[in-house]
Amino acid sequence: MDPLLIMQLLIAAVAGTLIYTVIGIAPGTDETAVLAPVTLVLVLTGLAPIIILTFFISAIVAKKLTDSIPVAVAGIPGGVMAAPMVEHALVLKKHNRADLAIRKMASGSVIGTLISVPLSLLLAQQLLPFADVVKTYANPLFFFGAIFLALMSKERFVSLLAILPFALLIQGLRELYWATGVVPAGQTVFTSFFLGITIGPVLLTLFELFNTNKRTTIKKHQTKEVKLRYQQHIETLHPFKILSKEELTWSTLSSVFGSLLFILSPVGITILLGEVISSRVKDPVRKASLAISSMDALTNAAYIAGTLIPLIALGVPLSPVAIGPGGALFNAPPVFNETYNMHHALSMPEFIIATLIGATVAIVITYFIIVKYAEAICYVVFKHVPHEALLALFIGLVVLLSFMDGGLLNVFGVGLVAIVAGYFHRLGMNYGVQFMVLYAAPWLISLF
Amino acid sequence: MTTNKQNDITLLSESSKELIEVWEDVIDIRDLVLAIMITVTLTMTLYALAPDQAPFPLIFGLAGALLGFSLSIFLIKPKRTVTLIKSKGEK
Repeated sequence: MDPLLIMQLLIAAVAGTLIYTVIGIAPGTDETAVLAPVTLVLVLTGLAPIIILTFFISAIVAKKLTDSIPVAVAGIPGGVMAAPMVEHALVLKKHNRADLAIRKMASGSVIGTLISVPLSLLLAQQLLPFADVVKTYANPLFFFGAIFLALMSKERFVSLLAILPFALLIQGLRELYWATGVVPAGQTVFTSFFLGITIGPVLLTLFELFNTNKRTTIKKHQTKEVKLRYQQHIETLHPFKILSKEELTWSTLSSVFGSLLFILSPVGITILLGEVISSRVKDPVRKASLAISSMDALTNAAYIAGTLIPLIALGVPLSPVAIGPGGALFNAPPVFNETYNMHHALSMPEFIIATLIGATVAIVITYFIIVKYAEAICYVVFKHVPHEALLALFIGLVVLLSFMDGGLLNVFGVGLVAIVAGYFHRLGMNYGVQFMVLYAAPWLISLF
Repeated sequence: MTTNKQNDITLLSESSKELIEVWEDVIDIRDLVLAIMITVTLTMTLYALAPDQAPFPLIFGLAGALLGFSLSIFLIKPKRTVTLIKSKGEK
């Protein structure tokens, strides 16, 4: 392979790792909302697909390694996926073992990555013969995917009932754009609707602030108190030595499950399996350590498998991770579309190289260096990066891409999609269902 | 109105600023509006200034977004009080 390309891949991996180490630590950042826009932008700039995949893989691994750090040191989830772990991490924090929590979680992450990368490549190979069937029925499959994810979610009635209205909104806006000539016929607005859905819950909260009544009655808060404990006794960094035999076994097993169940929502299986595994143990510290190490292994595995398997085998984003954070790898007009995306652009050896370089660089940098300086990094991010700036950055990106997709009218169109999506989200229709509907909308509406 | 009902430590804080919670963290609405105005203005201005050819508008727009982000970091103070506790480190 060309040494120049290898060099570029390494640079992409380092960049992905560094950026998502910081973002991973910043509290409350949703995986889809922070990974999707940046990946999308990279795809649109026309970078080589193999470079983008390397960046993406290193970004997920780094993000998943670091979003558990604020959980451990401050009890604030660094991301949606880290939320189920807060309860257990707080137990360790209470026992003054935040350092232990970091090391257990990070080791779990490493196990999850080590297991899921080869397993996903293997599973993808097994699924290849079915790719053509899946592709032929992709549209109905998205629709059934939406129904399936809706049924699996807690608010299944809301999710089911909202499918058709939401499809109507998306397809209705597209037809309107064609009718008014804002968007030329044959060009479909996709990217900015996708972003609208991602930023929906936040935009809804912000929009409500324009309502006088809401503004005065909304719960007010004080400055957030963050206590960081300075730990100096991290002795070993060897992941296999940090975990006990029991934790190692369960982390490995849950990584296998996470990879096999790639089609389900990663948050759901994390909560479920984490509870099942840890409920047998009585001692609080042992129980919490077991829970967080296996949960972290599982989220990592679910993320990597959820991206790689549909990407390599199918070319159709049929998993919550692929359709959410990895969405741009499958569909980002005009660069990628349903008939030509990263699945078609890369060969099997290229997929393997990109994954290995991305995962290795992220583990080496994030695990060995960041884990050691976890508190210092948390301190800098908490102290100097205001939440307002992060929110504004995402809103800026949405406005830019909406304008590029369909002019000023589409900026408001995306605002509408975001507010409706945000409201459905609040009622319990999760991202997975909404993205499936986004894909299924043209087919679904054409049935009538 | 429930504005000043939190009776726990409200009295202690000097300027009982009214912050709201968005995305698991607290923000000041005025600061947020400021940050959004800065970021969106810079993003769209640079986008408009870019040469009209394939990747340039996007790259310029992104540069504007990042510029706005940096400026916001510089201008706005995070609404968190961070305290670093030095612990001996138990066995």
